[in-house]
Amino acid sequence: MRLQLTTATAAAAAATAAVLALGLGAAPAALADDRAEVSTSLFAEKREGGKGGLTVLHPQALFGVDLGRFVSLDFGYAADVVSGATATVYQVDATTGATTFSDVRNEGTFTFGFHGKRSRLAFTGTFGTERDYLSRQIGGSASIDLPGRNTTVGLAYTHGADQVCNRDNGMMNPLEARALTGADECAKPDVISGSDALDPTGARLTKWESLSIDTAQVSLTQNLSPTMNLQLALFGQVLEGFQSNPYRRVQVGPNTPQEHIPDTRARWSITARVNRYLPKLSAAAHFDGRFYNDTWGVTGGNVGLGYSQYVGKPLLLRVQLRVYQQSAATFFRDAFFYETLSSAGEYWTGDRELSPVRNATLGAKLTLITVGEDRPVWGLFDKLQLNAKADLMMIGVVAADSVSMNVDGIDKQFIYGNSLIDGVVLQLGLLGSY
Amino acid sequence: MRHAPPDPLSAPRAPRAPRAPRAPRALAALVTLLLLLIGGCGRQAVRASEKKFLADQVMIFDDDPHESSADEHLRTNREGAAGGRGAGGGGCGCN
Repeated sequence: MRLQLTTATAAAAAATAAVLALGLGAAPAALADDRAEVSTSLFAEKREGGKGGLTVLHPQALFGVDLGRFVSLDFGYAADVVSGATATVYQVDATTGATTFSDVRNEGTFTFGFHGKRSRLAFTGTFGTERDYLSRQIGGSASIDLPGRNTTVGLAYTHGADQVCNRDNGMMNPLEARALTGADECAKPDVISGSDALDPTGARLTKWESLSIDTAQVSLTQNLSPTMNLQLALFGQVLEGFQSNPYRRVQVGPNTPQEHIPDTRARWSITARVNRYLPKLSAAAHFDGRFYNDTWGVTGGNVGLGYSQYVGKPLLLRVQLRVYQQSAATFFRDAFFYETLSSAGEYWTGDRELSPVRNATLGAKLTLITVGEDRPVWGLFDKLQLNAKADLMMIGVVAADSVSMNVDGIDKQFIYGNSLIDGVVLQLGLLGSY
Repeated sequence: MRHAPPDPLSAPRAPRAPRAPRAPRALAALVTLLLLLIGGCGRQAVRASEKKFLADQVMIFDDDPHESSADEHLRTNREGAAGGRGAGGGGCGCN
């Protein structure tokens, strides 16, 4: 099925490219760039309770080649190597029962791109796999410079058909539903799709739940002056299907059922970004702001400020600060109230992404730029960049319900740590064009 | 007849259905107006000969794709919000 979709997409892409090429005329030189990039990010987060933190190693590689003047083909690979501690039950004292875990996720991407003098068209396919999750996504994006070449309009759409491994709870009431465990089998006999696991009697032990994700984005980039540009971006997404963490349980009154959240979520956001070049300083100032809202009641926003400074010709230093805050989903409660008052409606969750939280990230990035003037850098690259970046994340946990009535507090819910610095991101990358 | 407010500790909280997203009309009108204004001024805003600074890599949105995707990946696993990277094509029209 995926192969058929990909073939159909490629045929449509070729036809569209022909139309574009005819409309734009022959370009005198290649309009796409050969490029390669490798990078690795390390995220380390501290949590309470002496159970260790969370560590995520995220290597990425991208290799792009031109196929003629107008066509490019990109291959990408990314992985997540995750290890750390997690709470099996969201409850007042989740710290005591936290357990360690580890997982590896692999993801491959290909992009077929067409580049005109003023327009770009790309089709992308992505496949990701891990023990209990399969991600399959196809999408397309297009952008065009409007007359005057000061305005760029971009459109993008992706459809994801994901699968999540889950314990088969049959017709059980959600309050009786059991969670998946690391010992349960999540079979993927043909690699790209999951298969239910049966016990020797033929009874189903685990099943693969479906999750469809449709995402649309529109952006407008505008040159406002010779030293200032602006980008506005609208984002919309609809998720339909199983969205709970199959491993997570929540203490609801005397029961500890599997997390239970709605099957449908619609979300949108609007973002504005501005860059201002400062010629006398060989520097630039950056600003961004975003507003977000969804049907689960989460409302959030962030603002960011950045400053980039050239230090001589080859060095570029950037510092930035980002502040974020969100409200809780309507069905999220502090653990004390799930235990003493039961759920807020028919759903319950211990997902920190759905909890009220604020955070601040302070970071710096250093880029060493080498341009091949007379001969290629390392005998291959026209331009080579070495990037090194470090971010510090400070997270402030916010109570979802009344603080005065919560006699047990929220410190041991094991959602976030309580340190001054809660997370660190380190990134090292090499980006070359040739 | 007036009722006394319920005691939140003794009475279960009333079930709340997930809310529909509310996009205020004023916000939608503002965005539309902004888009129209920007679109209208685009043709004469900056001449090709004036794009030296706009072509600099510090002025390109998401100029390092790996950094942008890694940041987004990290945040979507810690924050409920999403979106904002745009739909590509954030260049300056300098080619």
